[in-house]
Amino acid sequence: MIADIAAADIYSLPASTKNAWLLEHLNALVQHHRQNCDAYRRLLNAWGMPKDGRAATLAALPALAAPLFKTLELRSVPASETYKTLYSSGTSGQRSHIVLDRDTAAAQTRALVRIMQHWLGPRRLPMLIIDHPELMASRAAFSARAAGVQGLSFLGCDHTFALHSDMTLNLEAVDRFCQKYADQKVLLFGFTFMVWECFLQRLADEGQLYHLPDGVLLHGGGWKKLQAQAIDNQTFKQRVQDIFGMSRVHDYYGMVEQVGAIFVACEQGHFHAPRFADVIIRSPGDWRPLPAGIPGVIEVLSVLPRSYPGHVLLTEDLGVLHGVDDCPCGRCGSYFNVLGRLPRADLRGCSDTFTTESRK
Amino acid sequence: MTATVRFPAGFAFDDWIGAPLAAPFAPSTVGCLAALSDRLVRDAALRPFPELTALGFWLRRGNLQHLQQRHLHPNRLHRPLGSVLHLTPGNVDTLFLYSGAISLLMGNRNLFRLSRRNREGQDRLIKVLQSLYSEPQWRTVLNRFVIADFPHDRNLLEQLCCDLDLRITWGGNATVQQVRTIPLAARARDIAFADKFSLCLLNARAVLEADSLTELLREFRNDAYMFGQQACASPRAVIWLGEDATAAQARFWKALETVLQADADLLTPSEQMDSLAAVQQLAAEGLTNRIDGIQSPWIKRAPVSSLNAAVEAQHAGGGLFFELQIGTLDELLPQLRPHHQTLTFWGIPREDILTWLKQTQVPGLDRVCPVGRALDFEGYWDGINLFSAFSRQMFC
Repeated sequence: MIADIAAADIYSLPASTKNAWLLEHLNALVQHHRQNCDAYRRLLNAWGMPKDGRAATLAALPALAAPLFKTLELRSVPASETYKTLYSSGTSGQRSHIVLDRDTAAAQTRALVRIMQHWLGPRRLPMLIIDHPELMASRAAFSARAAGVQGLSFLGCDHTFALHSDMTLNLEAVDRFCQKYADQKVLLFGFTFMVWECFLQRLADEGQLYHLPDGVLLHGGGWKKLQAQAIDNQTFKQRVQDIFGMSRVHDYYGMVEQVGAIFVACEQGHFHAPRFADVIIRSPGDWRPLPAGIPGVIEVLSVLPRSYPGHVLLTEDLGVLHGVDDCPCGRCGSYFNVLGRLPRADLRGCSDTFTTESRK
Repeated sequence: MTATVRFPAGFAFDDWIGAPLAAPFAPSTVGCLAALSDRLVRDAALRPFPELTALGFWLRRGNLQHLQQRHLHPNRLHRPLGSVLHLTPGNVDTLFLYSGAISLLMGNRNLFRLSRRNREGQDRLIKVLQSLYSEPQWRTVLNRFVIADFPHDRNLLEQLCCDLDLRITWGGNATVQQVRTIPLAARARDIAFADKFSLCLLNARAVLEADSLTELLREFRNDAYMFGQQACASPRAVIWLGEDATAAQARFWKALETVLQADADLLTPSEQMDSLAAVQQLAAEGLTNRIDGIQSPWIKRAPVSSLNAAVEAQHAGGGLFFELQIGTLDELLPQLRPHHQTLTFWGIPREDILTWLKQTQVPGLDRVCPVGRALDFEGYWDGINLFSAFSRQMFC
């Protein structure tokens, strides 16, 4: 399905056509997961969803709260067909576990590549990965970071890691890459906080300057840590411009529970829903869908998750929808911004756990 | 590595151990707490913190005198214990103050480690304490009430615990077990308040036949929604007694929903997400077969066939209520366990409850009281008399 979509068309489908298409595929996925995932079926039954019922609108599709993936193993394929398990960052016990079979893993990669080809063009680009080589060590269990790097590596060639395994800057490798590809189109990729802390800051310390004006930096993972240091998007982009002469910096929003359907920020700074995914913003409390302009909790919908019921997911992120199909950048699709994580009341109950280890 | 003292400002952390002890219910201690009560009750700036006002009310001189009469025996010599470390809970800012006040009253020197959560209420309280400290007459008393932030450092805790006479740890279970691995002096007392779960018992017929539910709803609301249903005494399961439970439930929850509509900020978005995830998880695990109230911002209900550990582990507050139907009080017995703390009741005569409690060996339940009183504090916690716990009684 995804393979049939040309990169040019990732953001060309207007809501009038897209909604019906998405609804049909997502309703089919609801049935699929209901038949194959006991936990999902129990939830839908308790919720009173009729067995052969079809949601009339995208907003009527049952949404799973993302925390469920941390505490339950939700799978729609037998254990023997597990190809890979993805897990999110966080302390063990607080990590999401996502079960992929070969088909879903392949679909996710294909989707990611298609989306990124829209932003990068059809050719594979020399790729500088702002992370360390040991990231991909385990084949069976992947962190969100590793999954992101692996998926995107299909878009690149001459993959070069910018950091040593102790997270310090591998200046020789970066020098070599930037000199070899000076003035050419390249792809830089990494997680937002790491790009700033381990890469941009360290390069600035060294006083390094390179010439990569045609390059693209793709980064994601959230601004929380940088906000704590009062670093905003403007500052981040300016630093990239200063060091590389590069102006194409794209933030992306994605999560391990829905790898593949990433939302990339356009030139206007808004995240766009690709052809096979969408977002709904909901009011915390009664969970009704909110119109553009009113902040709420982000729900993400994607036709990719087949091996696990992650197709309609209520995240723990706050966001605001700006509109559908009418972004000044010219692309179709819902476009939105992310406002940050839901401020957490933290752990349940009295505890304020006193760890037994010293922290530096 | 050392702690940061938040109150009294400028107090050296290591000096807390040198503060002279006082006699239980010494006039200066009572006077100081009465003065604190005054400030808490009268300060208009504290209106957004009703729990601080409630604390102020409890600390009023009249109540302190009543407590003295109740807990000091004229024929015994009461003495303080000495140095007390309080590892306070994160969910209810003010709980530690009630027990802390009792420890202070009994003459001990106290060190409080505050949770890193709930800073706003803490900051307010510390401001009030600081203003009290500016009056020289209260300093000696307040030097026995040191509040500090501790880094997460086992070494520091180990050093502190060597010299304690009493260590009191407020949950949860994991924290208690970890703290217990830190040795105390052999003679020292160790009290822990672990995870608890609380219930509300409603007489179905009474709910159906009452002319007005206004008072019940108001009292239930106070019990359940103060602190976002996070306190261990907050009712998290509603037990319906008698026939017509289904009709009574319909009437009760519908009426409660109407009452709560007036309160936009009853639960935070985070609490909403917690109760939504909890109720979905319950259903996904097969612990409930029906979830009601996904669209309600305040009430989510899940019928359960029993209150077992798996069910209770899912609860995180946020307006979620497990529901159980029973025909007679005796049917409640197999559901009760030692970690069940508070049972509130309505529509059942107190004598009937008392008879039932006396006739049966009820496991668990530290407090049984009318709906509305769940969060009241009376000097007993989890079945322990804190006045005794914080003092010695000499026999001569």
